[in-house]
Amino acid sequence: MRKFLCTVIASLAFASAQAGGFQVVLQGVRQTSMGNTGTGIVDVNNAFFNPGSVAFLEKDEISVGANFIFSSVAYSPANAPSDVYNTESPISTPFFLSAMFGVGAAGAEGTGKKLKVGLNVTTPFGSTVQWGNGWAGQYSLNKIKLTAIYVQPTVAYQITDKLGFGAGFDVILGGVELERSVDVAGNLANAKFNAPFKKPTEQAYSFNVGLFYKATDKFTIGLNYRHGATIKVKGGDVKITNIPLAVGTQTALFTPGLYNPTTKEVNAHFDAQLNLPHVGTIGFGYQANENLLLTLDARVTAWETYTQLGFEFRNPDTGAPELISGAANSYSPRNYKTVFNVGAGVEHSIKDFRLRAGMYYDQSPVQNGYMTAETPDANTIGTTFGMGYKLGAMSLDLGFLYINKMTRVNDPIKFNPADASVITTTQTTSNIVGPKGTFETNAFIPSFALSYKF
Amino acid sequence: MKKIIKNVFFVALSAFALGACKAELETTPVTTNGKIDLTRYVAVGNSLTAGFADNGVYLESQQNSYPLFISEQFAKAGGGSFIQPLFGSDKPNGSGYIRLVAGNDAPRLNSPLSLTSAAGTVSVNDCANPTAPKQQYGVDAASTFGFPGSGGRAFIAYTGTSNQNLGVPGIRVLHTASPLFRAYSIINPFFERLITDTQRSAGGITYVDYVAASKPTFFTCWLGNNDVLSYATNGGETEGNPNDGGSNSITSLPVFTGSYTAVINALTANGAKGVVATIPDVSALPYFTLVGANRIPRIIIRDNSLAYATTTSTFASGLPPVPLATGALFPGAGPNPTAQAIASFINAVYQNDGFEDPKFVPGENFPVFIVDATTTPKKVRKIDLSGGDYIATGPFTSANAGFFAQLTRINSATCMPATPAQPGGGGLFYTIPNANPLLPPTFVARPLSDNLILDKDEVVRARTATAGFNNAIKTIAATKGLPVFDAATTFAEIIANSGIDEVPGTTAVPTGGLFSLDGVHLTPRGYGAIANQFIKAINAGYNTSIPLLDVRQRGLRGVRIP
Repeated sequence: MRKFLCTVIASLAFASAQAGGFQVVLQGVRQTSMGNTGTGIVDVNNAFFNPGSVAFLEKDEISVGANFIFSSVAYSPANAPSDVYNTESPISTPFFLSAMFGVGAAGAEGTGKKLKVGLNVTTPFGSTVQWGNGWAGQYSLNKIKLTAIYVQPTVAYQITDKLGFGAGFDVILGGVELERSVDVAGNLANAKFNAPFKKPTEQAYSFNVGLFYKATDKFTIGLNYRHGATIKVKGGDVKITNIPLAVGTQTALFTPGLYNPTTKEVNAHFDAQLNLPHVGTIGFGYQANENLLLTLDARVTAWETYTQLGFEFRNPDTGAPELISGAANSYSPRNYKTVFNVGAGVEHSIKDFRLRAGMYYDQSPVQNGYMTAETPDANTIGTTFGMGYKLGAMSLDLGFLYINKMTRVNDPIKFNPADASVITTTQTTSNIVGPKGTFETNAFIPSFALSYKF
Repeated sequence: MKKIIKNVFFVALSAFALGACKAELETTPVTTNGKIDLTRYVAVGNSLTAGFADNGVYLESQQNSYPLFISEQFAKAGGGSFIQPLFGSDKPNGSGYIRLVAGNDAPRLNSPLSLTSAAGTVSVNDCANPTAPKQQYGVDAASTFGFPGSGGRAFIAYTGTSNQNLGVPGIRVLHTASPLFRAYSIINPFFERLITDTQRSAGGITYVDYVAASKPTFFTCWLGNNDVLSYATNGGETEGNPNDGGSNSITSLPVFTGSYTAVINALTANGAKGVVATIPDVSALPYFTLVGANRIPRIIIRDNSLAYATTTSTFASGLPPVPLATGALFPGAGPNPTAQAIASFINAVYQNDGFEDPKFVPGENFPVFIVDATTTPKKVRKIDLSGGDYIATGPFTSANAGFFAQLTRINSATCMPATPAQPGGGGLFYTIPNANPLLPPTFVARPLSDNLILDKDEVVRARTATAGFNNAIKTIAATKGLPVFDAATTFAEIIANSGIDEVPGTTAVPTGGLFSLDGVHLTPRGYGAIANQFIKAINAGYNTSIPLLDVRQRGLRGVRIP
């Protein structure tokens, strides 16, 4: 009971899990279709994947696109392995936009101007997971809805004919809604956490830098570093419904004023923060012949800073602690580990058509015993497929990504109550990590993009 | 490789059918492996089996009994239907029960629990709430609570046939087998409710006969708790006379063993398999543990004053009038007596009334209770919780109400508070008139009666008996090849781990979630957790894979708090 909301921001990680790992995202249909690679090639949407490579864009270009995530998670409780629960998640639709324009002196032949400026807008985190009420893990999570938007002004420059450098400054806006069941004085109550899109008073900032090198006419190399970010939620709302009068008025449980005896609700506030990891990628492109492009990306994500998820319940105006069920804060261990991801892709051109395919393997940062209902993460194999069609200055791209996470058994770790740095309760920990049982996740993500060169 | 092929195939397929893909898991099939036949499950036991909760049996509590939960899981493994002797939906209050009520409901038992707060008062409302129509209880219209109605029965008879929940609240193993206890089936209103008019007019039947007639293919048996529990809840007041059936003494081990064997023989006569459960340590129950030291008022003796109060931190408003006395009021103690003089005076008052020296001292004194009233002088001593004494009054005690006023128990027959018998017949205090008739008298707390305290020696007796009974249960089970659900261990685990499996809960009442308001019986959540322990024992014993009930998914409630 004391431990009762521990998951708001962890959900940020789920969105990523949805797309196959935090940084493996849906910011370009071409990249997605080629096994989530692209750091080592030139593309307008590389403003996200590698700003260094956009220095070599031949023309000014705008690209917009959207993804449609159809995801499904199945869960079978350890206690009742004959039962299966499925998510009822609605489709979520992360989108992206990239626009890059050449400025000033011309660069090497076929690479436009030396200096490129532009804007990249992406939703690398954006997801809805809905288990519905009354599922076995309702104390962990019933529903989570997450929105996060990265707005990235970007500049890129050809240092030499072969070497390009690019950098972007990220402004991150986000919001989250979360619902779960909580245990109040031995009975079921519903808790909603809400930090809407406009509410967070502090945006997060980050940056994204990349180098791009044309080793030969055929062989290109890209290096990308995306800095982590500290996402803060301040003054988020907590609403707990169905609290009996005699419980809500206990000053030892709830700070006076939080409980409304008429509606039987507690309305409180939370602050939380999450350190998003640094991501480094090396990518290769190989133009085997006029019609065949091969790509390979390898990526490391430094998750190990994500050790725990902490919430402080505070009055947003005075900063005074607010007691919710007798606790003014809540901490829950995550102990993520640094992971590697590797992907390969191929693009074959036939006249104005492009056919693409790829695969990637994504390690899960979630260690055994730390799975949660919002991140029932597991090692992932992503299979991709796509096509593009060029019509003059316009091109249309379609992509398909199928994610299949390994079936994974969650046996939540037992916490040592004496280890106060992590956990402050002796209570059953299944709502901190868990629930106990087996998870299987897959997702099918079609996407499309329209690009225009001028 | 297989996975890759599958993925590629899927992507190709999906290109044409833009549908969502549902994640699927291979599930473990439910099976009894042919080891047990769940066609007709019968539950044998006492109040815990009957679904007793909140000091009564009522429709909702029956619908949350652990045998019903077990039968629901059995149904997934080919089990048959499960019929319980439900109070009808027109009699939902059943035997009556206690509940928490908010605000101005004018409870008849004005016994606030620890949940009382300034903004919202919660009280215990008793089962015979006069505002509830009698028709909603399972009693004859002509009856009053605890007294037979026009049909001669305390409750309206259950006329359904093929009852499968044979739980009888209050029954002991002692009562089950001997023909001498046939009348018990009439005396116990819950048993009487289950038997036919024919059986009743024939002088009743033994529980063993009743069990034998149920013809189970599979059974659970959880008996024996009351063979020691009623001794404990009555403060161990009856040390002797085992097996007399009427007193609250501990059943003798040979009688227990013989009768328990008879019950198991009756159950297994037709080759039925089953599982039996042991008896938890009585002192694990919140009934005995919820009244903590700081809820017990002390007798505070200082120079020139005598006061009754709980510890200073909880001594606020709400105590009954505290008899304060000044030195001049103590007859024979002289003016402005020292604390020592007052203590000696009280000790003398006790000894004058036939008790041994209670040894009150200056400062704070725990109340004194009667250890043994048969000796001369009668044996008394101070309550010593840290030394192993338990308060046997149940959870209806609060920091905001006086301990002495709270040393009452609910009479399950009348639903009225039963004022404990006091030595000397008069009230809670000795009233010592003052030599000066213009001054008020002095009040000296009398010793508490033996039945209010389960003292440390009585606890040892209860534990020894429990261990003996549990050994007998395990031995009998072993000879019949029956697995054992070790409830004694389970209850200890719940206390140690603040919950069991993935069900959170503590022994707190009413907020702990597992124990109902009476501090002995369980809530729906508690019974759900217990059902799972039975199923685990069955799965382990018979190599079956019956799924456990997901207590959390069901959202089973703890104590309903208004």
